Amino acid sequence: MGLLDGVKVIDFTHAYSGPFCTLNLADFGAEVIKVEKIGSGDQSRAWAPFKNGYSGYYASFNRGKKSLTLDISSDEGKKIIFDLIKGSDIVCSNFKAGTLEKYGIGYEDMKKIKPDIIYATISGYGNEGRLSKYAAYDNVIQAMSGVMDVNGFSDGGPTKVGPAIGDSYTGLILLIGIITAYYNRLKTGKGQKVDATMLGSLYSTLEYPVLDYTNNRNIISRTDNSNPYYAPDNVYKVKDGYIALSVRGDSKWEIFCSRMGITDSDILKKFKTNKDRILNNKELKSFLENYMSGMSRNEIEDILKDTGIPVSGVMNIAEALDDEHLRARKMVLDITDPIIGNMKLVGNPINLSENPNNINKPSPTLGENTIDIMRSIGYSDEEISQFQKDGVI
Amino acid sequence: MFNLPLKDIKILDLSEGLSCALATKYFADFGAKVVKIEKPSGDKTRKWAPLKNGESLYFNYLNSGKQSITLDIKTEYGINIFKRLVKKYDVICTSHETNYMENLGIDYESLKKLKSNIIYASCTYFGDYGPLSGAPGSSIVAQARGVAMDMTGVENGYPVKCAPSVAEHYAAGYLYTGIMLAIIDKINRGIGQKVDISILDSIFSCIEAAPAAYSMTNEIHTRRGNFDPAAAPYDTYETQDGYVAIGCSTQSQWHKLCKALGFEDLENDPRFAEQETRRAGYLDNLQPILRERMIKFKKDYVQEACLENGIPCSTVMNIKEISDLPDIKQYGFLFDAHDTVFGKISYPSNPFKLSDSVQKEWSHAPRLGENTSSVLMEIGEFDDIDRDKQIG
Repeated sequence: MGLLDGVKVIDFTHAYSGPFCTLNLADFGAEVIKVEKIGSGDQSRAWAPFKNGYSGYYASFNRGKKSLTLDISSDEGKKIIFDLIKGSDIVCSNFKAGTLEKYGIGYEDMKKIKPDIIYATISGYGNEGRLSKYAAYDNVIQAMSGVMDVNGFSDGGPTKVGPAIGDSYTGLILLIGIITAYYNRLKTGKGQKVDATMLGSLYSTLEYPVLDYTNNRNIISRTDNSNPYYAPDNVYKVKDGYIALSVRGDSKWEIFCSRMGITDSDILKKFKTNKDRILNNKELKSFLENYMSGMSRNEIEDILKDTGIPVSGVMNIAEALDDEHLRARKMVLDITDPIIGNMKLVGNPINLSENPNNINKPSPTLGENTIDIMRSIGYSDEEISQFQKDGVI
Repeated sequence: MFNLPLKDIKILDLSEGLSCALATKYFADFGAKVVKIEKPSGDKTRKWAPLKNGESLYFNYLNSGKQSITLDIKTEYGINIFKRLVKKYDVICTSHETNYMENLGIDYESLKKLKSNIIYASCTYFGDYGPLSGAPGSSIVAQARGVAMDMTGVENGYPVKCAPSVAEHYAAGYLYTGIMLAIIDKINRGIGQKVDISILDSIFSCIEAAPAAYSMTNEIHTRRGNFDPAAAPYDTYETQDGYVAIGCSTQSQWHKLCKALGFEDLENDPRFAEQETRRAGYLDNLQPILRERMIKFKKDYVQEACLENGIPCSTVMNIKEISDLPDIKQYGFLFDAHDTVFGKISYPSNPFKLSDSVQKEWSHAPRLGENTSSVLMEIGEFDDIDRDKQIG
């Protein structure tokens, strides 16, 4: 039994942001029906990595969903959508603002068919305004929101966050809106529209620079990997890679020095207080890198064990997939996809003691569930094969 | 009719720091009663920068609409009051480790005995189980351990931390969702449960298709500067007067880009004719050429030419440039409030909007212990004589 069993989602999303959101609904038992373009499907079906001609990218964010192929621009397609909507709870899309309206299946149209529908959309910049007509990608939103400017080294260029957080974070924000609207519907019986924007989502992650600029006119830009309030709290190059550690406060610093064998009295004097260390942060970093240059990540982690000092090597994906902790928390899933074979996915971070999430499921092939779904909304086999001949489904 | 959708929900928030406070901010914004239980010296974020008039804007932003009581849960008296409060509330939210809560006799198992349908939500760096559970964590360590840092920065250069606390932000989203799911389950089945969120798991969930790529083809997705190898040109370029990001991911966008910027020779160059060849040889072939050409343009010219032609593009804006853009206030990404203490003040808006559910109006975050008497009166506990005892 899933927590959201019986909740039906008509999912027009594609690529990354929307599917990231509806993945969470599917993980907790909602029936998520992806409406995909006939022939090519969700554009992420063409995104690397591939194995046996099938996209691992698509497989990563569509586990446990169903796939229906449909021509949404045709009159018959529109009718089928309305038939689907009648028995559904939530509609999701991440088309450029205005796209579904253009096809006559916007919120106002759907509300007439199903008054309590929850209609959730992701867009780059919102549904109104000068920017709303522009398409958005993650890197463009990272650039515009200020995120790219604050990341990186002060003597280098602006740096994109590697993973596309403009997409996944916005997907998560939409999920917050959907679950709030769903609760409201349970209480009041009313549906509504939920909108999340990529620009607003990333801009909101910059709360302290935004607060400092808009209220105090201070402009915070990129400041390396250091922390403006504590030192050392940084990423250091060591013998076999990089290590991150956070030493907060002078008593922890004393413990750090004693465990690491730092005894030079000039050094201890120079970096005695947190204030000294912040003021001489660059010098502190080169001292520590020099000091740790012969040490491995594991050695340092071992030395600092049980000191209360947070420390971790900078892990790459190969290391993380073998990590005992992430595996114990079911954050690394081993899936057997019928086409790809064995592969690994990221698990769901929401742990509910009474609802073990049921997530070891593969993603659907293009149109895999078309016939079953058409039957479930009352179409006969004759009608279904006629639609197939006409290129509607 | 407009309504505050969460007005029936009551939360006791024992947390400190960002993740839980952001999650309970969403609850407070939509009408839930959120009572912060602070130690007598107050939540540490009350001192966090940026400040104005010596008071934390950061704390004020995260805690508008909540209530504050001071209670020393390390005293027997404090614990007893806490337990009596628990009976009247739906959700307990904490950033403390289970060990800490267990020692005080207020972990999930103990509280369940007091109130069988309690929802107990915790958000910690490593979560409630697993070999690292209870280990010390920090923002930079979560990013380092969660692979996102290895994927950020210039190839062969230092990994780069994401300056905003992204791990904590993702955790806040999962925590909010987890609590709401538990509340829905309580409506459906009448049961409570434990919600366990780890900040490490949360950042690990954003690493896109890296696990698929490594497990399917042994490819390690690591940092590659601002270039995304899925398509080309999808990168950031330096211009005469700043940087500009261009996202060109389809064949037709490539043709449009060449026309927009007068790159007909590149359009006709067989090396760049197909997405696959542009992409595969990008760092060696196309990137150096584009870098050389872009440096001659002004950033606004590139942005306008791209947008006019349907290519996603933006100048790289700093915090001043984006915040000063009139659209930002006009379309609700940033809002001005009148704050009783600070006067006129600006805050980033919630990044999602509900068409028929309003948010609560802005109010200054509670003073430390501001609501102690009214909250304790609900359980018939409070009178002025007791005040020193319970806050001390």
